[in-house]
Amino acid sequence: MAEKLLDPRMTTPSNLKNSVFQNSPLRLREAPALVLLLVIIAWMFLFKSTFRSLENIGQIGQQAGILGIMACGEALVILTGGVDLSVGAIAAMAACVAGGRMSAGMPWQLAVICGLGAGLAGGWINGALITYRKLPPILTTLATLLGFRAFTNIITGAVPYTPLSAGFGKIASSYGPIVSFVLVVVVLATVLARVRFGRRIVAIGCNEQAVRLSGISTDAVIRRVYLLSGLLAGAAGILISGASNSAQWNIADGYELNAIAAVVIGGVRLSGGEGSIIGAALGAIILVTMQKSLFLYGRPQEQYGLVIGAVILLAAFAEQFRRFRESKN
Amino acid sequence: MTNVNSRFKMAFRLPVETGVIALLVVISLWLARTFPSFHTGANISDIFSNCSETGIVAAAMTLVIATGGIDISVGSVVGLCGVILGTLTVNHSWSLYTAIPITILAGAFCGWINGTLISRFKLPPIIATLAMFSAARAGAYVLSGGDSISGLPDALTNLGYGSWMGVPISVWIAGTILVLMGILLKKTRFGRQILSLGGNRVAAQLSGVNIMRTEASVYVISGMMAGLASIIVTARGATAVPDAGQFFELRAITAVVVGGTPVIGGRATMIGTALGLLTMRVVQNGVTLYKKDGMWENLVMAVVLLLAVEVDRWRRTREMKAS
Repeated sequence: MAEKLLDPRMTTPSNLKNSVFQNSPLRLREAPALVLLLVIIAWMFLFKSTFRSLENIGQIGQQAGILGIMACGEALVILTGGVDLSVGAIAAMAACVAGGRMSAGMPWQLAVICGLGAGLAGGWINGALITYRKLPPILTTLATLLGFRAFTNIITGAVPYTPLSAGFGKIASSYGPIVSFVLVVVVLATVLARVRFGRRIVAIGCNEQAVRLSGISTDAVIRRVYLLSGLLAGAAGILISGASNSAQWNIADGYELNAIAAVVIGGVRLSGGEGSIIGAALGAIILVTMQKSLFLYGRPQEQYGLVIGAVILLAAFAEQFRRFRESKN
Repeated sequence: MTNVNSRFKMAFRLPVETGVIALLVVISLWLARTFPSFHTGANISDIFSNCSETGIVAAAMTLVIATGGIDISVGSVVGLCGVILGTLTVNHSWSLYTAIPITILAGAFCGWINGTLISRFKLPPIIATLAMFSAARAGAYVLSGGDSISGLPDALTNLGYGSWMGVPISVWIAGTILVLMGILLKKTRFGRQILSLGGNRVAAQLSGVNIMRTEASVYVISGMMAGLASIIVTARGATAVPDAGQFFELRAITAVVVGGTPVIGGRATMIGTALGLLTMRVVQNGVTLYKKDGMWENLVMAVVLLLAVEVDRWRRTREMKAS
């Protein structure tokens, strides 16, 4: 606690200023993630010719885009000191709403908006339970993880919606994920660094009480953060269903853990208040690139967990080391 | 407020298990009224014996949550230990007397890794156990090659289906573990240290608690119990499968929280955990009786979880007003 108060980064509202302009690039929170990504990419480019194919890079872009969108929403929540375990379930819910509308003949643009609406509704339920009812985030989203998934299963009767709209499928399986990912990262990174709402998100993660006492409605900010997380999870789910041309209740199963892992690998502090959207995006790209590399080396999918577990630990140790060095200064 | 007045109100203080008791009674009465088959001996025995695996894991999870931590790796550790048990007994034809302790030790080892990362290297519990969650599940697949291992010794399968004094052996084991953990938590120095650690880490350290050792031990116990649960899972399933124990962590955490243990730590109730487990099983049983899909269980459980937390909030506000 004392260490947290003495830490100049915790007391100055702008960690962007400190991290980008005052310290060397290697001291950036995102530096370990960036180095790791560059090492993996360099290794794969040098030693695996299949990695260099355009098709492979396109696949990485698509998958990283989908996971990245989700991880950005999760990062916002984690920056406030909360956690959203329901992102995978919300993704499935939104995908099924959008898929259902599409297969009912609605134009895909409208159907996607309906799906995003479902994502927002899921996020709103989380936010409302957490702020109006003051329930702990981990419990609330654990309950909604079970609830949304079950709700989607029951409503759809566990029957997949397929085929979806061809026009949307073409977009979602080509440039859709990566373009929306870049858009989300640019917007959210700017909001977090430059916009009042974004600064408040980080501030709440540092010291919620201080923010509340300075006259800001922390609950309103937190509600919007969960709303955004739901929206982005919904977008990711709709893209997943579009890319695979089928919307089912069990898509994005376990993605909440992948999203949290991406956020942690990207150097966002799990207790909130420190980290960036860029980091979360990098984390998502690292996770997907690593999975793809393991796949190219012919490793079975079951073994990915070992490596991902190790990388999460590595990221956590990097964070620990950084904090240790900071406390010495 | 006079002393007499406050004491009068103290007499009406509700136990922490109020929420779970209320929900359990309401749901059970409802089911008993609707379905005569609900309160038959066979059904009730079924409810109890289906809680046993989760019960063992949830007992240890209560200790972990009491320290303010969380262990999301237990399900994967159950899978890994089950595969270890299967490999040792079937492929290496070890006797059960050596294979079972080794299985529990393997669980304890996973827990020790978690505990060391959390207590010595100060990683957040959710991260350390998230890494173990991925790694142990992958380990189970690597060790088994993705296949299920059948042809387990008969003694093991008998353990899964045997009963003593009319009660299944798995229920005896789970019940014993729950009682032992309850005594450990409330009646021993170690248990009080766990609670003080969860309540106020700095105060606990200043009052001479070896917080590093206490915290690590809790995760070791959690891993050991996952190992023990894996034996029952394997025995009851008669095969060792690498994806055994999936969602155990979710069920155990739900049972603990529904039972009235706050996730921030410092307070815990083992009776609540046992009642929480029963509630989950009764809900599941009700879903089956209504001939609904298994997914309804999760939906109802989500509502039960939120309701339990709400009742707990109401109880605390009431207490605060009284004092």
